[in-house]
Amino acid sequence: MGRYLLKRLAMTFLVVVLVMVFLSVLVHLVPGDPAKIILGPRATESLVATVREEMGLDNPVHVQVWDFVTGALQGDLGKDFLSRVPVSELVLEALPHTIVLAVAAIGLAALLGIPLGVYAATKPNSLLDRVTALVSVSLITMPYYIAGLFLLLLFSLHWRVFPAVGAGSFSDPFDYLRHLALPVAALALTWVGYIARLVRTSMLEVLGANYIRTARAFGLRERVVFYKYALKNAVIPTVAVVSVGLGELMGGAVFVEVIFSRPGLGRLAVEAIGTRNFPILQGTVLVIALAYILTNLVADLSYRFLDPRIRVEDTPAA
Amino acid sequence: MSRTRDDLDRLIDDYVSHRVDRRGFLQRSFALGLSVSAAGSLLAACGGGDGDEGADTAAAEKVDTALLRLHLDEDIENLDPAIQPGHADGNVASNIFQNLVSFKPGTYEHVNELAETWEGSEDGLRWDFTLKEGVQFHKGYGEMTADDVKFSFERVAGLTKPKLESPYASDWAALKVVEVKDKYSGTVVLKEPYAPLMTTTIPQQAGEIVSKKAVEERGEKFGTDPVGTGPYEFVEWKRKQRISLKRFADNEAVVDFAKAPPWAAIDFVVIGEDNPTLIALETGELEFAVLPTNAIDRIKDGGKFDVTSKTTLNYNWIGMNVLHESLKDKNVRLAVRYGVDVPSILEAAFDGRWEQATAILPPGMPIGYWEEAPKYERDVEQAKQYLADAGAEGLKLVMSVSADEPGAETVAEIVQANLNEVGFQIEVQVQEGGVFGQATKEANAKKQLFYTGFTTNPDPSWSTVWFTCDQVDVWNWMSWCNEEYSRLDKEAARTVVDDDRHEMYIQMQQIMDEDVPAVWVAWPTDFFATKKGIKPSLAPDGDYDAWSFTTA
Repeated sequence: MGRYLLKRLAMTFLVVVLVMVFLSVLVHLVPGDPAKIILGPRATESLVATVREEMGLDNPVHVQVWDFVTGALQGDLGKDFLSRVPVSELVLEALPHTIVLAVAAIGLAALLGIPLGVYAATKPNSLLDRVTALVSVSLITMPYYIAGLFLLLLFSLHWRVFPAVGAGSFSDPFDYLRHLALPVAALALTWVGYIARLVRTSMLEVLGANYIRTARAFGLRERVVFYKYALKNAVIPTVAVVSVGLGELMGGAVFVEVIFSRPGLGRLAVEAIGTRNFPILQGTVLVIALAYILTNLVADLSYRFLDPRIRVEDTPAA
Repeated sequence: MSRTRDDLDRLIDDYVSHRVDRRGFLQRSFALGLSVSAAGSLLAACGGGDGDEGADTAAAEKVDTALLRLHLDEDIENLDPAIQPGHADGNVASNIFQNLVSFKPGTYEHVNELAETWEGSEDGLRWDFTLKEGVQFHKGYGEMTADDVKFSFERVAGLTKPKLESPYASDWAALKVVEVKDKYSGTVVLKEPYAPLMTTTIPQQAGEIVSKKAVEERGEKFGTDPVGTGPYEFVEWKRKQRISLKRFADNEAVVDFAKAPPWAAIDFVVIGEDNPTLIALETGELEFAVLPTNAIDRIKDGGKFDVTSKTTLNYNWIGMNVLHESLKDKNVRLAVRYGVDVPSILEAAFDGRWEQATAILPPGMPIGYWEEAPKYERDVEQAKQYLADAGAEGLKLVMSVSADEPGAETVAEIVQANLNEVGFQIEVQVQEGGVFGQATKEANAKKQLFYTGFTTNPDPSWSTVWFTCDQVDVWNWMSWCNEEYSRLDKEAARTVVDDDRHEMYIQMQQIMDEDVPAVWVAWPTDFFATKKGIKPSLAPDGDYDAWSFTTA
């Protein structure tokens, strides 16, 4: 386990560095002079030159890559030229909003999706199973953007239950939760369907296993068979998917943050693209990429922790 | 007794000078021990019992003046007058900072704001000012003096040490020095006459007065925690959410050309997309927003908002790169001019709500509107004839538009259909905003036909300057260079007699019309939704100052 962990951590570090290299080269792959676009037509040539120098755009590419990677490894993501605020400060300010959104969404999806999947698996091919399948597939195919707009129209405009825009303040938890409800629902809906389908399939597979048949032969109650023996194993792939899903949701949050006008990493990145504000774009994309990488790492490790067979397979032959 | 009498005198004075409304007057009267009938009689004696004012106040009572919430379509970046990168920064900053001379809200009429007197020499090179005394900066930064004026102007011009590279340095390019005579007076000395001084420099962001002490103390943080003398002071910026301002108690003395702002606080709410903005309006989370044209009827029909409009000074056009091999021949460009159906474009892309442009400068521009400019109508036969004269039947052209430009794809599709009918073969390319907007020699050389729009300020020089020869490899995407046009553009900026300037700008537009580098499409119109009971303050070009919004 220790060797495996070291190997995975080394791989993770390598991927992180590669992401940083890619991000620093990104500036040169996109057409247009960022300094000119940021400053607009009224800027003098000397101002454009100053900004180019400050952003390091005059340096050779390999120097820019080195500066970005070494800076990022020390937590220095540069400075937003316009507001003069360090990018790390902007990212750290936005990050909690996105984490709360993503964690709450995946939590809600698991809370609804797992029981739905188990219930569908207990009565395969029944009317309930078919309805669950229909609902699940419908939810899976619904883009975050559409879900968000529908929720806004229904719950903000029509019923006036939740506010339409903003995120509220952490200092007022009730207000924050009110602002959080619709964005979380918009993000979670797709995953409810996905998790429900996954749990159902895993449950059906597990329910056909010998040890379940044995449990039944011993006369155990169905509820005990389902929830104590079958679900424990069936949920393993779901845990891995949920972990990876957390990273995916950090990316998916882009749409939801834009629709609900919430602060967050996604919105920060989207607006930075429009203005060619590369320091902010590099910082936000790096953090989102880190979230993917880290959640993948956690998924791998938790999978091994939950499923002893993987540990056995990994043990070198004596 | 004497104290009550003094309080009463102060209250009457406040009411007469509009520092308190009817409601506030009555509340303070009762607090001073007056009966309802006595307060009512006093109010009538002050001219507030009947008539329009009373009617206004009755409506005002329905509006909550504790907080005014306005929509911003993008977040602010930096409120420092020397930097302010976007229109959102300007909309917020105009409540925080003031100018020596400003435009009276809703007009282009000059009014003294921080200046007690402001007078220019005949040659336009020396501008003497005296300041109103006792004007305070926010957050305890003390009284505004002539030193702050000198610092504010010279800082933008790049004359202070260390030198500041301001995007607005060109507004003060003619500045030689600001001479300080004493605490409250001085002279702005120019190197050469500069006509836009009183249209876009002194009354706009380059002329906003900052606290020297605050800038020096706060450094780069001044842009996100600014200190001015304006009617509202900065409270908080919650990034990507809102910017909060509160009424500055010490400001009342300097807004004598306008009513005291009724709003205790102002929030600018940042919402980037149209649909959420409309929903926020309809759910009562905003009192004011700029509307997309396709939402005007929906908001009007809702009955909660008044919709007003202003034709901006901006201009949208179909440009033709005259240096491109395919468009060098003027006959080809004339074929485009007569082949394009501009009224259909306006109908399809902007619901017929934008005004058709006939030249660069719109009627609302204080100087330079060319009233007799020809309005070309579509004439397919004539267009075909011009194309035949050029020997270019079946000419292939690429029409590029920016994905960020509202309505651009529709414009391009109509142009494509129009010109294909004439005998062109038009390919439409929708480009990402940054790619389309590259202002480089290489990118400009690739442009053929394009549609775009430029924003501007209330001085014609900011509209015409982009088409000079100097701009050919930069923002002059038509690569059109006419020496006479360029000479006139420079001369007009140095001419301080308005009538002479007016003629020059008309002549420039005539030269441009003759060479056919463009088909003028529209002077865009902005539409505003304002909650009923609130009267917005809109400049002739659609710019707005939240501080001068009133209760209707």
